[in-house]
Amino acid sequence: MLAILLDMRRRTFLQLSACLGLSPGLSASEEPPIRIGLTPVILDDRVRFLRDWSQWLERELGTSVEIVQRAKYQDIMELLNRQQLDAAWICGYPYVLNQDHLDLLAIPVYQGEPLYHAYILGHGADRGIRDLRDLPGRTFAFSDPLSNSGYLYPVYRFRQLFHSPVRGEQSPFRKSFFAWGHRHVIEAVAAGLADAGAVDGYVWDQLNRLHPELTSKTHIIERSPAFGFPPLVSNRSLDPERKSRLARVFTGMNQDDEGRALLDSLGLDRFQPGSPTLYDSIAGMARRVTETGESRT
Amino acid sequence: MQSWKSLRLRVPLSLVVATLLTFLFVSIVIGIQTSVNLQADQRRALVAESFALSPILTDALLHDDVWTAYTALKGTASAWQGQQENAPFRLILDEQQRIFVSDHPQRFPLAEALTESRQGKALAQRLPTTDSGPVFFDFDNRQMIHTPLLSEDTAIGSLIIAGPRFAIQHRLVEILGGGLLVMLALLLVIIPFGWIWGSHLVQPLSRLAECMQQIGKKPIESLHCPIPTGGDEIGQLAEGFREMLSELREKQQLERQMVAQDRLAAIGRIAGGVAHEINNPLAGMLVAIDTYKNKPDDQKNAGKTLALVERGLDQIRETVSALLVECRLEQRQCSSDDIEDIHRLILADPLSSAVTIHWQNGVTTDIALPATAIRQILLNLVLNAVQSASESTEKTVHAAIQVVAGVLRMDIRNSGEPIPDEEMERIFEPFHTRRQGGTGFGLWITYQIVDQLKGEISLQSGQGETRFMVDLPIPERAAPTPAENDD
Repeated sequence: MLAILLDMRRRTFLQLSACLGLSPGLSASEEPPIRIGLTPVILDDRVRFLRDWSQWLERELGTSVEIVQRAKYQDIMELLNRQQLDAAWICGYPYVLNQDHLDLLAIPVYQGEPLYHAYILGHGADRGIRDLRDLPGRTFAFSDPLSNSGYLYPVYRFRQLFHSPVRGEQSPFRKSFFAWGHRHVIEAVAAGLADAGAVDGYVWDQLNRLHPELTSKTHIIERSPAFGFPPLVSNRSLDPERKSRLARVFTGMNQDDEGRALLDSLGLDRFQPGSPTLYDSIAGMARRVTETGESRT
Repeated sequence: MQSWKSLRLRVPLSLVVATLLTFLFVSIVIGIQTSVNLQADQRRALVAESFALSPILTDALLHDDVWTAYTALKGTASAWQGQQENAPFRLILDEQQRIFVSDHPQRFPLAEALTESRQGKALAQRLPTTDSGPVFFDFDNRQMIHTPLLSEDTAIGSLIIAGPRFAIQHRLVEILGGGLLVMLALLLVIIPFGWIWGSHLVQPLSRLAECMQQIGKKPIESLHCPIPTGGDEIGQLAEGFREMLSELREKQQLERQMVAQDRLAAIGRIAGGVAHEINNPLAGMLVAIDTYKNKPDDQKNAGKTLALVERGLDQIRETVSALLVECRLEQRQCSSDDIEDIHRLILADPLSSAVTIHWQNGVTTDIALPATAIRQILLNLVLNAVQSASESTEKTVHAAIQVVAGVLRMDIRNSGEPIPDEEMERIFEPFHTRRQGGTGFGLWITYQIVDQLKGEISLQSGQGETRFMVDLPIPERAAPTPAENDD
């Protein structure tokens, strides 16, 4: 709902800009706008930041940019697969699932490395949750069935620990649900709606920076090993010129003051080109989970 | 005057009390009315909310989408600004009465049976069983609405919305508190106004009261009261008072005239009484002189006659002086002869010839009592007795005078008609007489003398006998002086 609203506001803004002749890219050529899909792998509800970022991208790319937001990863993946998006910022898990028709454009560098961790969070109040072994019989919030940190990794861990399906009748949890976004997971755990939840560690860190009052009601039970950071990808069939232009703009973001400011706002160092092998560990977990027959929904 | 009972205080106090009571009453009425209105508004709000939420929640419940349901519930919950324990709450139950989600997950944890918590158990017992539509019920001082979540007319769960905990006393306290300031401001006006009004009311009344207090202390003519006028009750009271004053003045004038007339009449009566007192011994003396004239050579008789005449004259002189209350002449002690004198004086009375007088003189020595007083008492009593006896058939008088245990007792009985009871009470009053031509003075004087000598006089009157008895205590030494401040 929010995403659609944002999308509409974005369109309105762009149309307005076009009328006033503020957008040089659009006025200079008849090139269709570049559509970039966003998932909640970042804090995608920061409207002011997104506006600034899209303005910067428009200037750098020399064409109009349309940011497309969806609450669910699956929706973005469908748009991407149907070539309705030029690029998208997605999680490593859907990337490995669709690796055969996706190309990596750029990989964010976070705290010096193109890596991040998944966090398992517990409710801040004393509910006696110190360890993953305290979780059976509790309620658990997952982020998205296509999220690595918010679903694949915790499922993989729980299968290792409890040897039973994580979702469904035999679940060790009293109840588990998807909160559709890392931020929502944090909110659910903070409110006590879920006793525990799994989130993208980078998102938790960013939220901890921006809204410590929210994250203070949660505590980290477990940090996962490092995984490849959610990458910017494009459909393999995208025009190579567009593809290389996008890759060049993103990886050059840290060479420009405004670009650096935007990266600071995201809490990232820069974007860099990357190899698919970065996501091998995720692919391995995905294989294991699929072999054990865990459903994704 | 300035006590708490004063109207000056009571009027403003009454105003304050009346204002407070009105305020309290109005506040309670407004409080109750507000509560009723609030409850009705709340029910409408609950219905609207449950209708608004039902479709999205039904969908969320169908798809097991906890988060969507939670955000929908949470969105409406965030408006509450009161205490959290009184906050409204919302709850979705699945078909098995388990908590699907609540906007207060700490209190109603996800996927727990509603009956697991104590409050939830109590709530579960109150839940309506029908699935046909929204049902209101009260629980824990809250208004609640239970709405079945229907998919193709089948209930897949239910939505329970609890209004804020409602405490009518809180509402009342709020209204009272808010009104209190207005009240105080009002009292600031009312108290001085009441004071002025009270003083205004009291002023004529206290003038009247002052004037009334002067009645009896000052002559009515000198009373000059600035009495208020007006058509109200105080004016009427003042008018009544004015009339009373003028009637009092008239009455006083009338009384003065009567007293003046009475005085004239009394002078005449006293003159008659004195003549009577003088006549009584005179008659005896004249008889004694007549007897002497018949036997002028009888020296012994002459001496007796002279002595009798002297005593008679003394009696007249002392009678006259006894009548003048302020004037006391030299007193001498009563002797046996004085008693005998009275016997003789009685026998001189023409009426006594028809009456048998049994005279018993028990006095042998001088008695320390004034002779004139004893003579006057005895004379009056015996003359009255003779008079009464003469009108009876038996015509007998008994007179016994004796000294008994330090008391001179005079016991005078006659066979006259009994005295009626109503006259017995007034018989010693002045101007009271039973005889035609009587002055009504004799018994009054007798009573006064007995009283002065600290004695007692009693009267018994029955069939065939009327009896006066006088007891006079005899002082142990010299003759008493009846008045201490005798000049």
